[in-house]
Amino acid sequence: MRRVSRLLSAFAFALMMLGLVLSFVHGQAAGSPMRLGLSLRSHRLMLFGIGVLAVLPGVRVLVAMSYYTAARRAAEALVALVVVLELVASMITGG
Amino acid sequence: MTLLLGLFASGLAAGTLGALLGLGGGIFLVPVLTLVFDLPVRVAVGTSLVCVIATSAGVASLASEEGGADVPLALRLEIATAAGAVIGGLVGGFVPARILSYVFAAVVFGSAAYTLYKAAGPGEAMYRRDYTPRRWSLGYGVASLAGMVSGLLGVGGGFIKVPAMYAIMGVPLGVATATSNFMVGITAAASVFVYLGRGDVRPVVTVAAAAGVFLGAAAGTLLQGRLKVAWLRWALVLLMVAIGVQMLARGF
Repeated sequence: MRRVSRLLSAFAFALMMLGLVLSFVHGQAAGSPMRLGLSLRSHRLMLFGIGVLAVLPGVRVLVAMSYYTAARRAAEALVALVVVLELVASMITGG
Repeated sequence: MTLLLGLFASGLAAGTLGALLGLGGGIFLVPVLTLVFDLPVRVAVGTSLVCVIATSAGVASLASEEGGADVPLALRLEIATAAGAVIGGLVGGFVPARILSYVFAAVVFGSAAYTLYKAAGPGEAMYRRDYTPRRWSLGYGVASLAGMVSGLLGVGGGFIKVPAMYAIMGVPLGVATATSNFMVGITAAASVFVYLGRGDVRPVVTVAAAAGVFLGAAAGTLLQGRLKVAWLRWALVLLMVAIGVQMLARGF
């Protein structure tokens, strides 16, 4: 689980920072005019990074669930499944 | 540039506190983003939710094997928290804000007093794996209450979960903070997509704050192994008293 957290959070962080640096380089953060195409690209990069970060807790619960299933720890796997379902329901219904 | 540095510094403080005390940092970030940076509340909450997940991810990535979360405990309590959050969300529309502030303050002061009451001797270990969580029914009750407060007031509830796990269920303080960090990440993930969908997450603001949070969480995780339980417990109690006073002031 720690390896998955490291991998995904490093990926998300890299995307977000790349987007921020692009924004900064092209003047948005400094308040100067900026080309729209570049602005959209950097915003999309940052939003994608934020999206990757946002799914990370769910992925961690899924990893835990698969681990408990493989270890035949039925009660813990079931609890993890309930949490995943709650998470999915919250995302669909709006928190 | 100054704005970005300010956001980064706020994130750094929130991430360090979050990693040290098992909080998401929302209770600190939302007031700072609204009062200091003059952001609309919705944008502040959206930014704060992403930062809570960043704290959780940072702690999970950097915690040592022995300092990691008790995942089965976190998952079981998270079910009670989610149920409480639904009830809190439903009830929240009918309860006056002043009453909510008093309830919130009472819960926080109660948690602080109980944490002090249960304070153990100076030899208490921050991390142990030879414990068995006890008083599950009370633990579930307080986790539901944390969820209810979360649904009512829009905070993660880590400041209730940590004292509950530590003082009521007998979980070592270091494990309780890591477990709480795991849980607040799940709670925040459940709401963050709503804010993303509504456009309440502003990328430049969020990324600047989240970068600080990542670094702060790393610093907090490294510091945690070097701190004494007594210091951490006092920091937790002082933070709870400050939050309680703030809520009482809001009620008057």
